[in-house]
Amino acid sequence: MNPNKLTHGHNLLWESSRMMLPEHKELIQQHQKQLNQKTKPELDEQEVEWLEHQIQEAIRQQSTIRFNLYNPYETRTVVGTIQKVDLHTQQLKLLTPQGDIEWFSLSDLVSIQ
Amino acid sequence: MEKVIFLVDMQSFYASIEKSANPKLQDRPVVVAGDPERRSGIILAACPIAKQYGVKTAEALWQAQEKCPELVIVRPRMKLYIDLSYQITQILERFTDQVEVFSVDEQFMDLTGTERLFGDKYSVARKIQEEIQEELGVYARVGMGPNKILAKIACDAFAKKNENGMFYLSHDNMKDTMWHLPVGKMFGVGSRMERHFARMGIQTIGDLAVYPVHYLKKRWGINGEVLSNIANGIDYSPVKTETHNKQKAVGHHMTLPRDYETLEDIKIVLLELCEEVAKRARAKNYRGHTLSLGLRGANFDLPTGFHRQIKLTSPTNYGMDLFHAALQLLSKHWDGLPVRSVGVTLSQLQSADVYQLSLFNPSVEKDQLSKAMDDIRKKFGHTAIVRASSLNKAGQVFDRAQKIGGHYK
Repeated sequence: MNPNKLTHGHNLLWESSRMMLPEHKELIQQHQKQLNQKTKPELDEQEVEWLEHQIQEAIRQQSTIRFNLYNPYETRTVVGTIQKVDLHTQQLKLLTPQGDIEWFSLSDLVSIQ
Repeated sequence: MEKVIFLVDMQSFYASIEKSANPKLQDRPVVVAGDPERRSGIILAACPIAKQYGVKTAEALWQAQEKCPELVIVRPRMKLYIDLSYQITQILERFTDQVEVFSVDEQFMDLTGTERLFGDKYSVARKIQEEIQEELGVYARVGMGPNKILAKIACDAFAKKNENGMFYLSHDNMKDTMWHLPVGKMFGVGSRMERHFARMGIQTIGDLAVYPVHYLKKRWGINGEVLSNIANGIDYSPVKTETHNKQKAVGHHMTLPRDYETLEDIKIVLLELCEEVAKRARAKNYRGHTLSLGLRGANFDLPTGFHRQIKLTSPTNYGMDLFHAALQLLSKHWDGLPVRSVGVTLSQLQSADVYQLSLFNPSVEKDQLSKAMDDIRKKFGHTAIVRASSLNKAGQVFDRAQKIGGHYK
């Protein structure tokens, strides 16, 4: 059943009677998004070492691994085998199981699974 | 545990902002009003001094000027009011993260469990008033209650009239206060409902509260029970911060600068409205499945017009699709009398990412065309590309592009 104005926990009593300009709503939505923004976690030395180790291992065995990358709104994950590490631009080249090539920056790397 | 809900309301918001922006206006009767030339010449807000002359919100500008010849008229600056309303949201968020914006000048707060941080509700209310006064020069009134409906009524009926601009309405004191108010003052009761109640012998909110609810339910269904609940101070709605995130419909409405009498003229604004609605739906990544058209006649004494909806063959966000559906409704329901205002709404929204490909309707081409137009507008402005018909005298796009909510930015 669809919720109505009497349904507990819903806000229809108020949502059906208010007047808001779309420009105002937009601003509030943006604000809500910012509130949920995450800061980038700082990795300590051991964590960086561990990541390096995992990357080396993955290259050696050509295994498929999952990388969790930082994003202010939601964590991004990419999966694939490492094809190349560009130390100059600090980027990693991946071949995904779908056969696509994906690049990501090492500075975005948060963890490896 | 009983909740602590606030409704914070700004006194004559637009007028107060204009007064604090221009101190010369401080002791003069000020109103914010639209442009009479374009028939948006109504009072949007009147300051307390203007109200002493009997000036009321929503009356025509000329009526207000008759009551108070020395009235100072300020044009609205909608963008500024929205920005300042947002600033107030941020002030309120210093006290709790549970803030729900209800309108440009009213916001709900849930302060349950903050007594130990900021003190009892009266001192929090005073602090809120002080910070808003300090930072924006606007006087805030605070309605308080154990739920949203009591906070709202506390604000509208009592806090606004109180010396200190605050009032706490609870289930304990409502019988001695709220129940004595005329039922027409209650949230959710309009003039039509008030007449129905009068015929049933219901004069005050208290009368309604003790009226057997099953009679009300029988006559008005869910709404009957809702009104009975309100009269008894019952409301289970939470303060919902993310209430504006999901959208049910995208709509656009305009009052025309003059009465449009011919089908040709109406079609021009109709296409503009459809394009605008489609553009906004695309910006939000929606397609809609139902289109509704509302039209109001020009004669106030003999109200005409209609509001009808139509199911579209498939969900769309392409302006021309909307226009064809709207035109179908128009030709079926328009009585041919002059038209004062038109509105178009697209509802039953769904994500634009997934959609059914139609064999005979080239949706990919429409998407590409729409995208190209959106890109041009994004880069060169809203009026960089418009329908040729908008160059006609009846067209409104160039005027609307400078406005928010039908008033100048």
